[in-house]
Amino acid sequence: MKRGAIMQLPAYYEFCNTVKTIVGHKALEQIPQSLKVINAQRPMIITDKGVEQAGLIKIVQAAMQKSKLKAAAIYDTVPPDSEIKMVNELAKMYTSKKCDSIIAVGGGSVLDTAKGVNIIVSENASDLMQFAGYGNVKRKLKPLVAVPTTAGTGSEVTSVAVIANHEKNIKMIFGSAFLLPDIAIIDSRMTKTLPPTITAFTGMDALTHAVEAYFCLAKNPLSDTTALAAIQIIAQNLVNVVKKPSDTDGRLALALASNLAGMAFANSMVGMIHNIGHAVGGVCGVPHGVCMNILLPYGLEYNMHKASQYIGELLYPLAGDEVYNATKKKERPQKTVEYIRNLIQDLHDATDGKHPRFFKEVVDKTGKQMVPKEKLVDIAKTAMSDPAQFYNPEDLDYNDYMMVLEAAWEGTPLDKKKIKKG
Amino acid sequence: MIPYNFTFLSHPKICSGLKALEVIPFELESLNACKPLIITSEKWSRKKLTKTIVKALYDSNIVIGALFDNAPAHPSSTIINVLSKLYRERSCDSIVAVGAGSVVNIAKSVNMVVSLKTDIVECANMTLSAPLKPFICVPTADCEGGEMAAMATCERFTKKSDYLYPDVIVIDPRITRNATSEEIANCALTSLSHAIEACGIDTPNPINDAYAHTALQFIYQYLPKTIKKPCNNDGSVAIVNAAACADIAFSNAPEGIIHSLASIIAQDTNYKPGTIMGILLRTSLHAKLATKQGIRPELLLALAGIDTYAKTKENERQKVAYDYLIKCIATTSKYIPSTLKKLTISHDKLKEYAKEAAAKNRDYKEKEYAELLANAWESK
Amino acid sequence: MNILYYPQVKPKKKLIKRIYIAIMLWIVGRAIQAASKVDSDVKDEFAKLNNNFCLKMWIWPNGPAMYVGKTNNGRVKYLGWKDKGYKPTLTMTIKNIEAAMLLFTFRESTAIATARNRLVVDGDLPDACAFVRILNIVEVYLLPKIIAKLAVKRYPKWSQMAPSRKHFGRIVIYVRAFTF
Repeated sequence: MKRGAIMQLPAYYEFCNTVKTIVGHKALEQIPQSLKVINAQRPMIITDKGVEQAGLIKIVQAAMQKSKLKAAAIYDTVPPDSEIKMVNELAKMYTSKKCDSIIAVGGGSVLDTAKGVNIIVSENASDLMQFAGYGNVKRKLKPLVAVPTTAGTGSEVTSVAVIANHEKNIKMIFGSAFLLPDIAIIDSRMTKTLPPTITAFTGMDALTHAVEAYFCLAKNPLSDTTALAAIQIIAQNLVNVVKKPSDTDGRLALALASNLAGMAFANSMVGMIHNIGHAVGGVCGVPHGVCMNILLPYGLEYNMHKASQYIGELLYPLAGDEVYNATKKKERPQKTVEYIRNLIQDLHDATDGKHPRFFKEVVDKTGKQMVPKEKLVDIAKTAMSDPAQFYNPEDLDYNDYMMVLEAAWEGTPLDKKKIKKG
Repeated sequence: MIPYNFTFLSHPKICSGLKALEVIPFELESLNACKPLIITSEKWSRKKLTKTIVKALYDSNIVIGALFDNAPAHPSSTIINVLSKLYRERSCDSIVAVGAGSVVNIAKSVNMVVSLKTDIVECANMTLSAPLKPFICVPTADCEGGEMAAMATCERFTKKSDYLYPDVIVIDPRITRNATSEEIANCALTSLSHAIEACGIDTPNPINDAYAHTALQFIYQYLPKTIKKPCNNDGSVAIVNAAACADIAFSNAPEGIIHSLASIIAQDTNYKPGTIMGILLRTSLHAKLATKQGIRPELLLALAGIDTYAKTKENERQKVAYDYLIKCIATTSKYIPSTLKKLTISHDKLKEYAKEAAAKNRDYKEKEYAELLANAWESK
Repeated sequence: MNILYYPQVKPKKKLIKRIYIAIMLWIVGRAIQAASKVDSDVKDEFAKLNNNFCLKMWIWPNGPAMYVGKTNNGRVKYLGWKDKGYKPTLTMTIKNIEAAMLLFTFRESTAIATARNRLVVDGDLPDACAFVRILNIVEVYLLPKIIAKLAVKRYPKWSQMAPSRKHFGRIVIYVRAFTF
């Protein structure tokens, strides 16, 4: 019996996923017991105003109260970008309230802030800078529970934190397996009230994580299986949940998919989609998930000649076995791209046109265009400095970035003849 | 849709493939360690694997506290005490186990003793609530199951705890290719059983499924060629990778009926757990296929890949998955018998095994254990 | 049990491999210095970097190492293999000597080595992107096509690097790298 779609055993790979993941409609209720088992009883809750105003902190507290666990301190004004002054302030609060653990409820910046605070309080450090870089945190830190409120960034399973130092105008990157949270809580109540537009682009962010993890250079068997599982769940649930936000089973599924996608990309990295997406976000302030969503089909088209087998295999979790089977092997990669474009269109329709399909139509709250065509040059130059390109199967120079950006701006597919093949 | 409701933890970092051994110093450094106690068995030093390990640590800041290559075939409190003393006298700060089965269990037990600073009997009764000393597992292909899982087995107990996972699993072809066909067969059957029992549970757990399916893919794809040529680099690495993924999946699922019976029978006889599991798995699958629930059709996806899964009609997937699994088990038929009768086990003991298993793992009734053993006795 | 049967073992050094890597790092360092004067793309990449740019590429934990930096007047210099108090703004740490051997015998390209976590990049990450582009160009100059294709992701076509430019540049870089 021949095996179709052979799994590739890489010549060498590494895979690390040390976060305990608790999944369920009542996962929050397990926080007290999980903390008790690791001898923690005085958690500090770190969150941002958005999460607090959505009533999510009250839900977390009520769930903890069932086991008589109370937060020793709550801080709910983490800014959109994690910043060192705030990290130091929080660390002081942690110490003064005699906390022994942290519960971070929110998205990427809340988690990064919490990781920074954890370094300071665990190492009794006065200067966070000494731990910057890779591998400089060498010891187990105090307990950290991550409760993501989007589905999502997957930052509850990444070992990296990015914290800005506005005084010195630098961004400090911290990389260490010890930064990983001890526990990740995937509970449907945390994303239940997420508006349809945010559900759509955070879902596409998770999808991009999984897709890039599947075809970029550092792919490995475990990141492959987790990525495929994530893609299938997102393909089956995203549009439905955008149309019916109260579907809690669907919400839980998407949150789990984001976690699976996080596991995948934390170990096999991402490629040009994130590379260019970071640059668009940096230059024009476009939300990360929106950039991912727009660039996803272009990343697939650009790398098609180098990763066509993998892109073809993605048709199965995206479209199901019937479509996969009915499509000839040679045509599957292109069909995958078609499915992604259809998904983006479906999300655009389900959000009454608010979910953008290309950069030209990305607007801010006042309706102003966020990515003027003149800015593409700056974006391409910025993209050249982002290390995510290392993991992309095909190389990119300035002209390649411009070609992709121009197509993604207009919303026209890439001209395959113009792609320089290595 | 069935809502998800589960907990999942996989602690070990897996480093697998070409020149994997050479990452050991860097990994120890990131765990704040530089003086490991290396534990292995005489079998591997005869095959010069100890030389390979020492050479892999050249040009690093590692000082090997001691290289103990006389780990016995069964863990005992005597050897654990001796090694703990050696660890303390040399001021070691970490443990590296090169081998499988008893070597790894001894290493884990020593780790508990030196970390908790008490004897092994006390350790067995304690609830672990903090990480132990850094522990790196370098598995050989004669895995018996559980080495890379969250558990340790000693002479009188089996202890399960999240802190008993290795910190790093290093899978290197220079180590894994020193295997016999029989060892590969046993390792593969153990991994197969663990993986199937882990993802055969009633409530869906996609994370556990991902690990179990990875194990199944490795086994189905590499077992036939590796059993013929166990010294094959890719093949032996793949089979040990399967063991690692299966162990992690096994640690995150309730103990299955096959594992419970096989561990009892293996302890009582000289047979490897893989041998017993292979026989019981065949029987169990046959019985499951006949039930209303059947076996999970997704197993076919894991074994055969997307193309075959998509081509197979929905109502045929269970049967085809079963056929693939039986074919996989059949590749080991030269080394593993197909029924319990062919082993030197007395039929009278079966009742005893069923009773003991039911006392240890109450998820299944004594009747169920007895029925599985009875069916596995003769070819059914 | 007599514990003296199990003595402490201090692993030795892999002398020949260390020498090979040291030579390769010296060649790459000198070639980068030469290319910064000869090739316009390399000149442009370096021009965009700050004048305090200093790269340390080394094998953990004991070297060998290569330091390349920009002097105050913007010149690119191979600074040697000894740490003379340099303050690297970008560090590329190869985790062990075998990983370095795989890289410097071209069994693994820079991209593959990075994907396989063989090396760790620390410091100013935008500079790392520039440095990898510089390294790619230098490899195209130093190595015959059949080997360079293993080392880089995309070997430049005629339209990107004319053969005359490549061959002439190769001669000049070799001469400048091996003469003082």
